[in-house]
Amino acid sequence: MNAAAPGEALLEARGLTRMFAGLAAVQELSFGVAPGAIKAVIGPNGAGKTTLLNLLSGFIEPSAGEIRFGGARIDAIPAHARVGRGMARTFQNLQVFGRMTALENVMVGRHVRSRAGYFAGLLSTPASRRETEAARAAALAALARVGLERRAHTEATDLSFGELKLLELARALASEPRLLLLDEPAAGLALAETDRMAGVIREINARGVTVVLVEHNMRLVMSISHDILVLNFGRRIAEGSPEAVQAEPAVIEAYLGRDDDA
Amino acid sequence: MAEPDPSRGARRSYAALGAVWALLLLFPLAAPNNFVLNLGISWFISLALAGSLNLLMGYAGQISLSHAAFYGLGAYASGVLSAKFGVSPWLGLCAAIALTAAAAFLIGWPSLKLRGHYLAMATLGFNVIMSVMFVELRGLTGGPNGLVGVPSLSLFGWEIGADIRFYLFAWVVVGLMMLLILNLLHSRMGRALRALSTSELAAKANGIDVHAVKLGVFVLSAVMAGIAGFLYVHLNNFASPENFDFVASVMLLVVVALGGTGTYWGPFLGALLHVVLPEALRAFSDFEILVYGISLVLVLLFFPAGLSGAVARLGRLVGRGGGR
Repeated sequence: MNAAAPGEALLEARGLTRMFAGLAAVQELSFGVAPGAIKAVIGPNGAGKTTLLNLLSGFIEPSAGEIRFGGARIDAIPAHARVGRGMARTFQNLQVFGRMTALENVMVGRHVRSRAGYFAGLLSTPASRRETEAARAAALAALARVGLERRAHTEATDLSFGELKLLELARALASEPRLLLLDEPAAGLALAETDRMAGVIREINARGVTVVLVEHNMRLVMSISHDILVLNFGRRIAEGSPEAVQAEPAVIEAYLGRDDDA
Repeated sequence: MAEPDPSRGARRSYAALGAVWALLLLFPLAAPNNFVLNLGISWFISLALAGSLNLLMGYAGQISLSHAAFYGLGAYASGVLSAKFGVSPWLGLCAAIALTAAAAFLIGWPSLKLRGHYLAMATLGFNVIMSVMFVELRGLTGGPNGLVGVPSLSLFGWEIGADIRFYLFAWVVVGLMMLLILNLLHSRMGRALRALSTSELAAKANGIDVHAVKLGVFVLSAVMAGIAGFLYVHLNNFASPENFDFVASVMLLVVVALGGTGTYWGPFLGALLHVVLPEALRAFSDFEILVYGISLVLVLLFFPAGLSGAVARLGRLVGRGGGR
């Protein structure tokens, strides 16, 4: 895989636009994410945050504009193929595989890092068996990174909500992403769980994974982000460090409303 | 307490399959006559059908209403070629595999692009079309009277007649099939198809080409049904369209549900019902589908995980009572 050139953004959006029935959910959006950064995307409800995440991960197609990842255009590449290039994501409303254990869920995350197809699987070739063993080891390691190793053999549906959030994170990590897209990782979490999540994300980032997160929880955003992009009505209204963004009048207005309509 | 390690669970499944298959070798010794032995052979064929449908429906979560059509396509492909054109049944087997694979690919490719019930609708249509073809292509299929004069199989000059020889042949073929399914379930693709059955979204987000994986399992399950048809037609030297109609497809769905969808052992029990129930209900054969319907409703109400789920629950209760 070719790494981004020095100084170049790992992920870059140019003029990104997505229309829904004539309305722009994301409009003419351009921004970059530096390699190694934790970048938060915030904004009021309906600002286009989740639409942006779906565009970046390939779950919806842009109406206009382009997305570059590691220097290459990816906006025509289907979602599943982006994972192999080093882009993984989680979901706001949990998408866990039922009737599978926590470990098996994370082993699915190894899909793009293994190759055995139907014939190899049916015949249980030595290569297929080796891959399964390697996937098991890597999945256990990913579970350990989020602190779920003791729950490995529990049915996913028997995990608590907070554990399921971490399980999704472990599953995304198992694909060895360069970029992790997190859709509201703290939504629905209690305070202590939010802090645990913040610690886990920071730790993942410290190991070289670039993170983009969409989040409402300001406690999490302000504590871990290096860089914040603020959206309102699908447009950028501010971008910069947490301190700079918090001081921006347009941001305060978007969140609190103007005096006269408060 | 944590569940047992899955790799240990896998080894246990292989051991159990080996044990069951070894025991099945004793069945011909216990069978009092050829009739009972033939029920054993029918069970093998039912298991091939239920096991392959369960792979598609139970594990991958895709509903097919034309499993019997693929079964019939395999039966007629090999049956017609050998009865009408004198082609070797072994070449007929190749034709059965190629034809079922091609048909499944053509139906699956467009209908599996979409999420939801498109596959169910497309396969429903396919089964109806195939039923019409089996009846109307009289010159080839013998029409409503059925295809007669299908030769028995022979291997190295040995005829595999409808007795202990066919039993052993089916024992090998269906045993291999169930072994391959078990292999697949513990492989990368097996995990992928189980994953997409609960969340196609998350499957995509984990790099799974959902369409390709669904298409693969659909073709695979159709081919296995085709092989079951090949067994059927050379066992009975005969094929008749009503065995492969839409009702037969629904019946197979019920058999899988009764046994327990998405459980490896479910089809073993479902196939047993599939073979034994019609015999038990011979006097009420007109009501067979009614009995199936009622038992399906009862099982879904009281044992949503099917018979194998009920057996597993019973096993756990007994295990707990045994002072763990």
